[in-house]
Amino acid sequence: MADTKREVFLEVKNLRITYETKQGKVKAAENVSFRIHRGEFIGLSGESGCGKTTTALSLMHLLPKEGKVEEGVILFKGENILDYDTKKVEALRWRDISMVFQGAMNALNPVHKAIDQMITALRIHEDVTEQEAKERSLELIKSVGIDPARATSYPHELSGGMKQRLMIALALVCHPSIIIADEPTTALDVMVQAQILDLFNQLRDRTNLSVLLITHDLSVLAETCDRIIIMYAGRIVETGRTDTIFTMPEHPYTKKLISSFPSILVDKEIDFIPGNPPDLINPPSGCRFNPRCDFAVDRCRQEVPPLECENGHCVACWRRHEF
Amino acid sequence: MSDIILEARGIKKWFTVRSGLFSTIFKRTEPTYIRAVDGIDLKVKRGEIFCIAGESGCGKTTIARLIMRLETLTEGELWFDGDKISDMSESEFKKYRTRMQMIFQDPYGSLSNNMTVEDIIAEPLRIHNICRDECEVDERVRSALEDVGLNSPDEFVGRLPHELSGGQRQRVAVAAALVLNPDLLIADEPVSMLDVSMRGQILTLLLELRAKKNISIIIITHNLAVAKQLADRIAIAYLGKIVERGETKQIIDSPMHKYTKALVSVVPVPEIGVERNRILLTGETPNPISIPSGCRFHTRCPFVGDECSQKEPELLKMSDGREVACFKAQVSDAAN
Repeated sequence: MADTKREVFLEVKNLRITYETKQGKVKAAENVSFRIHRGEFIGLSGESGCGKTTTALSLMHLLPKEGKVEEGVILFKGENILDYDTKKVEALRWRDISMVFQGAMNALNPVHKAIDQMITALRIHEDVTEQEAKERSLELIKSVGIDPARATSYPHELSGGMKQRLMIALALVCHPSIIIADEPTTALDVMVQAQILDLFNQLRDRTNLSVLLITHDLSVLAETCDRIIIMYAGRIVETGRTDTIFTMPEHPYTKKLISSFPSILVDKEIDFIPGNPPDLINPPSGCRFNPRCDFAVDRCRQEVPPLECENGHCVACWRRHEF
Repeated sequence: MSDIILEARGIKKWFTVRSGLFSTIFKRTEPTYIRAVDGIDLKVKRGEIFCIAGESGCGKTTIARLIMRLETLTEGELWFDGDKISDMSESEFKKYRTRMQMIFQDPYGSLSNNMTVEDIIAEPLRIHNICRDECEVDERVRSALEDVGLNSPDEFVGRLPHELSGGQRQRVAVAAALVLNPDLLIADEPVSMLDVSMRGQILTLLLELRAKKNISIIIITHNLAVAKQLADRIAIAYLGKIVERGETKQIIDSPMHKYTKALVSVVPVPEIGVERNRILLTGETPNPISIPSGCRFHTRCPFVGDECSQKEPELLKMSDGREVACFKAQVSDAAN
């Protein structure tokens, strides 16, 4: 890991999650392990259905009822969150770990004023007076760049960008140590997205906050994160420092993903990965990327490649050193 | 046959904002309008891929809907292949409708769930009564599927949309648009719902179609990186007007309008360690009900001058051939 001296806040070990469906068991995440240090911004990326949101939801006990953690531990400050009962989880949520959801427009309660929602969240988790809660909320609203005069607005009176800022303010209200942000800018315009990313970068400079940023948009990760985790079909295929991942990716999937990502700075040929992501009810044996991989050999079809680390750059590919 | 397949002259679309019963009865207020498209000229050449880009609320989707006559024009004219289509009756327009087709953003919502792939693609043929018999329908459906890269049609014709992946669905949507052999294809955010690895497939497909059939394509997108890979020319729209237009590479590599500059400067890039001069605008696009006076962008422009709030800049041709609607850019271009 990049900086092992720093305190590990959250550690996920061998997480395996399945969803029960009529067609069979969907193996949504398998053998997922990673750590988040204090003050670190981690990006979790991959395409739809790769298990990134599933992993995030499990951290907060928010999996839908079909979902089940079959195996693994999630250690937060040394305790396994997965063993917590509802009461303990509720105490953890928002206070220690909070979440910013995709599509802020729908995540705020439309019948309550923005500031009231913050005050309520604060007073549920902390023993503070109404006045104190109000002051703290207003301060936060200011810090995310919203005019405090707008605090008493209802969500429909605010624009999409403002609502997303409010969601971030709401997530910060109890001073959590980790924010899980699931596609926080995906529904927003480019300029508003830039404003929100700027806000994240400011938070990084000003506080000790750790962020798990989940998005399919690699360029967003390139601009905000310290480390990146790439998932494919429920497994981690590569992790490493952001610059390593973008300049020297080693897993064929990561390579393809980056080369198919368009950029306005360079004249890239259009690239793509042929085929479709696998069906996770009956995933391919061996490396799950093998049916779409240009370099697959027999071993890739038979044995699952382990995630092996060298200088903090971990890759799950049998042929890592061959090219 | 003219070289210009589609021309828009000063097209406008103003939507009336409905006021409540109470205020209609008791107050005599002027009706308010959302000026979604507010005077736009466009020329799209045969075989050209033309992109209309901008943030939400800039009017890009309304332009597409106006061209397809899914909305009625408030003002202006539309010409298709030398014929004025904006004044035509619906029955006269019907034969033009087969020549322009549209594909939509959401391949999960745009295909009927209970129709097979064959029915979906054959429907436009049946509506327009194009084929002599069912055999010909079948033949054209199969060749359309092959055109979009679904190479074993037998495997796909009987499937329902939920049995297809996102990329395959979008291919079927393209096939349904292509089966009538249109001259113009309008694609509204054709890849924004697709994963990165799938996007390339659809973009390549559109490029191949243009090469093979010399079809003109209008791409509507907010994603400048996609525009750069695909489009020959691009128009940047802001609050219902075009602020800059020209060759895509020219506009994205060296934008002249301050809005384009800001927009290009904040698009996140997947490259590490590139120093970029970011122009972060504050606030958001103003409400199209109350459009700012003068240059529409002056309320957010970091380089605003005195005249900008008073006079509206025209879209003028610069020395390098592009068109820009910005006083400052026009002055500096004249000086060079």
